Amino acid sequence: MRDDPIAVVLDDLLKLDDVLACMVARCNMISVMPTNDSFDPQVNQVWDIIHRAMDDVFGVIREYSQAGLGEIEFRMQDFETLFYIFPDTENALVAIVPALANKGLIEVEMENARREILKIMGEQEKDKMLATA
Amino acid sequence: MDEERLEAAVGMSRKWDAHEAGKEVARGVIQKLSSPPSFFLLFSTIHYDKHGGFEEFLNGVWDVLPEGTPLIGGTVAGFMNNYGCYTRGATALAVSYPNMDVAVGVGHNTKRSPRKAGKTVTKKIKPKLDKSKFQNKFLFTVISGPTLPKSKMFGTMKIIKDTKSSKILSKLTNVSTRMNQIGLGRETEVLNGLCEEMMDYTLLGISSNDDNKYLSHYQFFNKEFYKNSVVVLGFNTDLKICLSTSYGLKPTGEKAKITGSENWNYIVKSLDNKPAVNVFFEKTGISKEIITEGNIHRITPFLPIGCTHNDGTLHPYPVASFLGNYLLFGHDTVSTEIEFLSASGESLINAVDESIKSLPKNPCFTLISSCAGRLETLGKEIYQVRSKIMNEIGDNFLLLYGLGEERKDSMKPPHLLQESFNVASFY
Repeated sequence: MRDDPIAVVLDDLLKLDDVLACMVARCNMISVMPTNDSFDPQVNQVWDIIHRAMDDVFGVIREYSQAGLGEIEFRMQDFETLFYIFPDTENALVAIVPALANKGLIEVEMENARREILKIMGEQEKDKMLATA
Repeated sequence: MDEERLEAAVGMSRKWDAHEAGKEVARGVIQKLSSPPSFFLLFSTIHYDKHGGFEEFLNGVWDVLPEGTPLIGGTVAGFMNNYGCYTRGATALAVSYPNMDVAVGVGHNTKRSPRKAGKTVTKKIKPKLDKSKFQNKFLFTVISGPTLPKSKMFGTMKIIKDTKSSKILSKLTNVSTRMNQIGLGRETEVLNGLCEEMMDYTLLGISSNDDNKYLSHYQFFNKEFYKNSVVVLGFNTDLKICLSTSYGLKPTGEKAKITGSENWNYIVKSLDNKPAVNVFFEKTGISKEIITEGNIHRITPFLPIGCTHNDGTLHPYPVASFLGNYLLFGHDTVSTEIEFLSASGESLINAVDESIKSLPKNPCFTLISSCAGRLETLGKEIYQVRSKIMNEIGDNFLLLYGLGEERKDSMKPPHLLQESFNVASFY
């Protein structure tokens, strides 16, 4: 996990004051976490219920990502969970932010992270193809 | 214009450590220039306050920047350049050009004595620029933007529903602004002081900001950083200067008259002799309950009021705070006749075309100031704004998102605007 360049991108995102947790995930599976594996303690208290809701949202993502679904967000208690879906996949960049955060500013950095991760995924895919060729 | 000898470069850093970021952003610029910069504009987000501090940030810059380079800048909510769109990081633009005489100045206590702060800058830079043989004159300003007073009783004062508190909140805002310099930006008065003897200058500027929490932000001047100050870059040159402004706002036809205002016309107490807040909700047709502390600055930019200055310039005002019965705006109302305006994400993005396409093609470099409210409202869609800019003006540009936008045409009065998109291009 420590050498994973996607984890480094997540580390950067998690350093923002208003990003309490972030990950690359799909239904029933967190694919990549930030390197220190820890979220803000505020999130730990509500993680179980948010995690369950996330799995339900991933059902929707699975159903509609091929149709061009790009983003979903839901608000639970004092938190918002933002999903930035990687095109044509069931994977999403997920971040949990306070409900009162300035979401517009966070969105810009979420988008930068999503672009970087897509680039890394593309390179990883290319390496895999070269290895099997 | 001596085209072969003009060089412009944009630098960028995403490093978290303040010193390292300062070094990287300066190195990125200097490496692209073959001669020392005539000036250096430096901007960052507020994050370095907690990651080494702005002293270290500037130390990093000056590890690389040639001694004596005129530098101004400040903190902003976000920025855009040829590298991308960011709400975290640092950026700079520098120009190296022999046909340019440059001066920089700083004035302090902009919230307590705004006019004096502006005049102080004039005294510093005007004598130097008056000697210049070049006819085209330009000022770039960074003025400390507003900050929200925080109190135990009223929180950050974005939405106060208790109508009995209106008077005390207005008083508190006034006292806090003058005594503690926490409150209204008063940039218009700074500009009036600055421009009184420099009417022949074209001006573009930005009000400093943090991450839209309105708590603390800074202005950079050479090796120092300040709060509640105005920093100005002035130059006379043979470059042609073109300035353009657009908004993307539509009149709704709903009008009202300001019948009571105070605090340098930042607070509107009544419209049509009725409580201003009630008239706002009546004319916009939205329910009071929709607006919360969390979404106020994502909603009000879509529903600004507009005043037209007597020189014809439109001033849009998104509501900054609902203080009981009163409306608080981010800058002073310039007329008593107002019209309610509306915007959509699409209209805000398309406003970019209006500004940029009205300018000649292929500028040497471009500076753009826009409103942090537009950034907050558009979110990641600002990448659409960037595509439009890149298509029309190329790589050498810097777009800054602050708490207010300053603009002035030569021989016309200066304006502090909000929710506007202002482009200064140099040819």
